[in-house]
Amino acid sequence: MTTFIGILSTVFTWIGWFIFAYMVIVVLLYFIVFILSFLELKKSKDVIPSLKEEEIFGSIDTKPVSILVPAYNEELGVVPSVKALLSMEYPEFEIIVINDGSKDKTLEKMIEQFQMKRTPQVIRSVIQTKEVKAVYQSTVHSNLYLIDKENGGKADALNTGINLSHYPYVCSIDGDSVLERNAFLKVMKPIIDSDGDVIAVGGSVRIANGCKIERGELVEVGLSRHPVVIMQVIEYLRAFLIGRIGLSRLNILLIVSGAFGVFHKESVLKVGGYRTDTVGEDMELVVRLHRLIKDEGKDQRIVYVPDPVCWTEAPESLKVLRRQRSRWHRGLFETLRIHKGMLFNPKYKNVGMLSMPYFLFVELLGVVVEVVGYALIVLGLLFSFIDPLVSTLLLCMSILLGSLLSMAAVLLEEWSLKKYPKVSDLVKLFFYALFETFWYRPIMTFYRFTGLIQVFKKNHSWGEMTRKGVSS
Amino acid sequence: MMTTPIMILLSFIAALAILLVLFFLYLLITKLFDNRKRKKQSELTNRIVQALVGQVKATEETFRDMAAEKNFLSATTDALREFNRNIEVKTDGANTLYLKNVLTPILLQELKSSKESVRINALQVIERFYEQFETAPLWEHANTNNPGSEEKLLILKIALQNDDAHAIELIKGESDRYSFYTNKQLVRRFRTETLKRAYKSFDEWPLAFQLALLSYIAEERQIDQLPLAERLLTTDQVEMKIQAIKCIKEIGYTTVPEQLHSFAQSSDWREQLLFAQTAQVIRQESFIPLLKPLLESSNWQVRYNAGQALIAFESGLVSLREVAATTSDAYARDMAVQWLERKGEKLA
Repeated sequence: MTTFIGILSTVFTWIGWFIFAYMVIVVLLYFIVFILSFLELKKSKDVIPSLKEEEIFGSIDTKPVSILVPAYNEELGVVPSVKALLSMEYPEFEIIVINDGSKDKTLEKMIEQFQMKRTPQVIRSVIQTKEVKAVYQSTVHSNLYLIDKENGGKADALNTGINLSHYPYVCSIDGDSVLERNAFLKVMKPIIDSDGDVIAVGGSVRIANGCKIERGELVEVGLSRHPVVIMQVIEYLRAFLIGRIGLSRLNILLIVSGAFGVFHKESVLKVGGYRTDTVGEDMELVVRLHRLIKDEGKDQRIVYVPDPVCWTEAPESLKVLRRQRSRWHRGLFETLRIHKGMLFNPKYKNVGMLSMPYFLFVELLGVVVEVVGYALIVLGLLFSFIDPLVSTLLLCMSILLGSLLSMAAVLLEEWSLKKYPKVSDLVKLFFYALFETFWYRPIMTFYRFTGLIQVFKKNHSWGEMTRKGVSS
Repeated sequence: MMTTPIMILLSFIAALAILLVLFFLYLLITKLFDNRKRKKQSELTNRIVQALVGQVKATEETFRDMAAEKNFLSATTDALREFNRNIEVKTDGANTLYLKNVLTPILLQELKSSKESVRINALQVIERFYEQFETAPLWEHANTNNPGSEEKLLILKIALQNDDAHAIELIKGESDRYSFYTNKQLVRRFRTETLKRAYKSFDEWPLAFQLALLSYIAEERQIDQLPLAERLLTTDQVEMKIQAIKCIKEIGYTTVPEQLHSFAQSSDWREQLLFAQTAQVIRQESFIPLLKPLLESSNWQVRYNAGQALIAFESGLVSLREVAATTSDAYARDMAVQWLERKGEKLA
């Protein structure tokens, strides 16, 4: 018995050391990415916002954009969203709303509000999609189209929109999102500036809960009162302002958010459009675009720009949040699985050698390490394998490091967009960040872990179509 | 008695806690200052605007007093932006002069700052709001302080606005390194006479700048440059041909319509598209047989514009009806039907 306990204790110690080393490496990685973002934003921190957008707006050199709005049961949000899109400051664009077999009155509301008339358009099916039932065009806004199609999921809806789209750039937007009016002038700038060498641009996504939105336009930024939403605000700040700026700087950005991203249509068509058999279609597409760039030996880039901002509604209930997070994690797993050949493959340069391993070992498997860590703490304390003092101190360290990182993200927000005007908002964000480790982080770890479990449970039906609603 | 590793851990935690508190305090204090700064800046902006429009009696001294306040440059930028957009016609010329007298030495001083952001702000104000600015100190800054690319570009733009010969020489050597859009921004800052000279010596410019020059002719619809655009319709350089036909399209006239035919027969969809768009403004019967096959293009924009061009001609309508009734290409038929329906024709 003593020997068994001795062996168990040794195993505990080794796993404990492994987790500790892992934590140190991850924290170091996060701080390296933070420093990259810090340096990037520091350059522009005190620069008076330029007047460049005015010049772009008046230019004949802007590239027209097709805005794709997939909508599934969006009868409440789609009309204000489309109205806001129609008033965007951009010289030439069209809006294509794709009703993905909604069961509510999304279609009827669109037809009624925008006086849409059925047109006999034949869609060139460059990408295979579910059947299109009808195409409508607004009689009041000639640049507004509505596609009514069989339900096939968000990726399928986007592919249908791409097939109908008439312009060289396509932008995917969630049906319930709100864009700032000059968002397109800002998001298209890297494309115009680079003579097309930038083939995809992602903007920032922020949480709209707590903000005042009138007629599809954001009029006042505020923080929600829901703790779950505030935690998501912190998470989004961390993800966008630390993660994406840093990764974009190295041209190894693997995620352009499905809520707001612009893509070069020809490149998207070259890689076959969005994959419909994964729930992480936005990340998967970006990885394929990176693959295309490297395979063709081109000097193209995928970039992130912190300003423009797309405001989106975050889940307020844990049930919905659970679905969302487990889906995201499944999407991450699927993308890494599909593109496993890129992992540590020098052919794909920084994407294969840095970005893919980072997403595998930190973002995907980090969840497993965390779950093991929690189990180890509970079991260790239960069987007295670990010193309560040491575990308490390690917990304190983890809380402080996590909070520091969150505060670093808030600092970057203050340096760049300054969207939260009140001092009380900062205080709220600080205290919520402090308590993240006690409740939010374990919950998120659990949700993401269930995503992984779902992957293995569905092992036999892996090749089947994964159905999901749009903007759910 | 605590062991050394625990002491190390404790010290580390204490350091982290202190760092976090300091971080938080820094954020709070900067936010408070920033909010106060914004409020003051907004007040200062209002005062500058009021002085500029003559709503309050202002002298050079008034502006000097305002310049002594913090954030004068940012407030001035906001004020001038507001003023340029909304109340340009109501400004008091004398007050604008006072502002410039006060602002110019400040801007020159800011250019010597060690902070890049301060220098960029100063250059942005000069570039946006000064019609004339002494370029010598800017070149001195460019040559001695090794400024970044954004600063260099701003200096180049300012110099061009001031018709600076050195800037023009620089473009001749460097414009191939700039994007099309940057070159276009530079062209827009040329003075009229310099621009005319540039058109005359068109062949001496680097290709990237030639494209920007042509695009500017199109943007400004400069009919006096039509011969230049027409000469370039037959060049071997695809991008140049595309910019040349864009000029014809925007100007809306050509003396050599037959030279556009090759665009319709090109394998490049951009050339086909521009032909179809040009055919909408320069209506030549000879274009009709060339437009009809474009209805079968795989590019929607080409099909759409070909249909739009055809509908303007009586014989174009006949072609559209023919396509709608006989062609096996569903996309061509669809486009023809769409345009005929827009014309009010009811098709079975």
